[in-house]
Amino acid sequence: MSDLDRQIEQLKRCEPLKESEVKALCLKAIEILVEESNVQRVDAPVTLCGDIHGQFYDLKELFRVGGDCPQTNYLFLGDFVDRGFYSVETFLLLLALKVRYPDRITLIRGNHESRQITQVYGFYDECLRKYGSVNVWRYCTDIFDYLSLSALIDNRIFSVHGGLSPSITTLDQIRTIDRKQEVPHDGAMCDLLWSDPEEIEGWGLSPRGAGYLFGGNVATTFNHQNKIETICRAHQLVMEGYKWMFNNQVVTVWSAPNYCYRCGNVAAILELDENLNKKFTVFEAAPQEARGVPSKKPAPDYFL
Amino acid sequence: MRRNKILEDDEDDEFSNSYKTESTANDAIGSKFSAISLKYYEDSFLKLMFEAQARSFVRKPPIINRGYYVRVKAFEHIVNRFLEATSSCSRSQVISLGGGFDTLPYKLLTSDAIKSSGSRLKYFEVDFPNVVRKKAAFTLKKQVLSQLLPDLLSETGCDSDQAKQHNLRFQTAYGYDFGSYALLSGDLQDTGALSSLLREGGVDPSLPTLLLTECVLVYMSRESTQPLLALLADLFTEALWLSYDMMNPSDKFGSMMLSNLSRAGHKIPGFTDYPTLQSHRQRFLEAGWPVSRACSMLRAYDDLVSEQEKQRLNSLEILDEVEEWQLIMQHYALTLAAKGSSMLSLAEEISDEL
Repeated sequence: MSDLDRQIEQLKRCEPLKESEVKALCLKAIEILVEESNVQRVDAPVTLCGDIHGQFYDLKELFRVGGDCPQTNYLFLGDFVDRGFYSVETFLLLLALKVRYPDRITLIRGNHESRQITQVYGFYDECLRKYGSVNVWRYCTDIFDYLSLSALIDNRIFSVHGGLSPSITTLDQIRTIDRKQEVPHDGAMCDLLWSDPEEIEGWGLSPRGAGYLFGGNVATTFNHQNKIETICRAHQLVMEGYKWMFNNQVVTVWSAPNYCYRCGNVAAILELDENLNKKFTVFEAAPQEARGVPSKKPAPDYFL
Repeated sequence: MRRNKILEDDEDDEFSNSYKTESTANDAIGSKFSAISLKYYEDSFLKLMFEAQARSFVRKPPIINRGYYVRVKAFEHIVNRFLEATSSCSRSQVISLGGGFDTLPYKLLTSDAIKSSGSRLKYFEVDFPNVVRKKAAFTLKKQVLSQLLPDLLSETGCDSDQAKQHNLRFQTAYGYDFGSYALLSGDLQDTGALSSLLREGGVDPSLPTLLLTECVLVYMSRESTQPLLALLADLFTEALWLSYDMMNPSDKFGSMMLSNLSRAGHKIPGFTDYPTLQSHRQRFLEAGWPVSRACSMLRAYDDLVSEQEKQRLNSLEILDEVEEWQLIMQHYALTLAAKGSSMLSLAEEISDEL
């Protein structure tokens, strides 16, 4: 068994790697990711997954219902880290799978794959707590800069974490972005990772303070111009796991069940067969007994 | 806020040393501390009250910081509206029930607005004896007493012996009385005793009165709540009641909330006994309050917080969890009930703003 296979087995048990192993894994990952396009080509059949947010045991549940990698070809739409208890193990498992099976798993960047956001939403603190230093956080956030910004499945389905940008009308414009940087506060790259579809005409201000709201007519124009059937994105919690909008031109896929151990939602993955037929598989949070040792994790916050 | 570990601790009267272990368990105070540390709002009294525990408080997620901010702002807003509406009365009173370690009485009674206004406000707090003792110990701290009763301290100064004398001087048969601020020991679920406690503790039923319950009624069942609401409807002639409570326990978020809170040891019968916004209004109407209005805290945030202020909040912390923010805020209700003509019209005015 190679070191990498052994590390994957270890991560599947939710045991983090040593700092030196993380460093080596990240160096290997960079070699692969640097070659990827900002609009990474992906061939069907493929299974699309939305936000994971460090919910490691729910990711294992996702692999249980969706099939293991490499048997199933996966496209993850970002937001691997923050919020959940196991961002380190979650991201490293996905990254190790990427290094081991680069053609069977695609990882694109979410708005939480960012130095700034991870310092507010938990990944930074988790690295510090688990390793006693922020080195692993540095290695991982350096990797984030290499993650692709979007994917194009069989030239017909455009996949991105957040949504569209008023600065972008064609896929070629996305291809020209210099992505190897921290997620900027505005501009095309920021918008792809932050925007949301909304029942409006044209563009609107986002309540998130970054990205935009885009209406159905914006999606129609973009899809027409780029000969795309569907925009598949993640980024927004939907209680039913997935949600169609704008006459099936945009779909949201959310893959973190009972988000933050608090929201009570189900999750979904979108399975595309070789003809791009779509099948959503809905799943619930992993049962308590699948979560290993009974956890003494703090209860989620409420107002008391 | 009411029946958590910190409040049940009954071991140590020395305020500053009382909470070393319990403080981390106290969610409301920890969260408010997080919010003020990140400058959502200011509360020098809370900082002072828990300065010894400050390092044990952890930073809370943005929705929690923002949610406590909205709650504090909503209470301050409505308290201020009450004070404006009663400014022509020579006297008025605020009665906070089960407020725990709320700092509003200190903020309010030491504010320039109150000090410069001619009207005399008395602020009562009713809580369990152990809370009353701890709050009295805090009030007797030199930094607090000198602001609350500046004349007293300039006369006498204040060292630890004098603090003990003060303790005796302000102690009453029912708790403590500092002139404009009184602490009454009692149990809200014992309405018979509460009635006489309020009267004998100095509450004047003829004055315009603001009643406050901030995440308190949710810890009581319908059987205990209705008699309390009826008792106070009966007692006062001109009163406004402001209550903040959990609601919507039956949807997906709500049932997870109920299960998480129950698992964490919180007994919250009011959450299921009063499940809807309508039931929060109805309970006051049934108890003899002629008018009641209620809205979700999401609506309170949208309507009470100005665009400029929302931008300030966005600049403090990025709030990425927009959907979760909407969910959690739809599970908290702000309810007003009113009695007496001036309070009826005040309740209508406030609810029109929401």
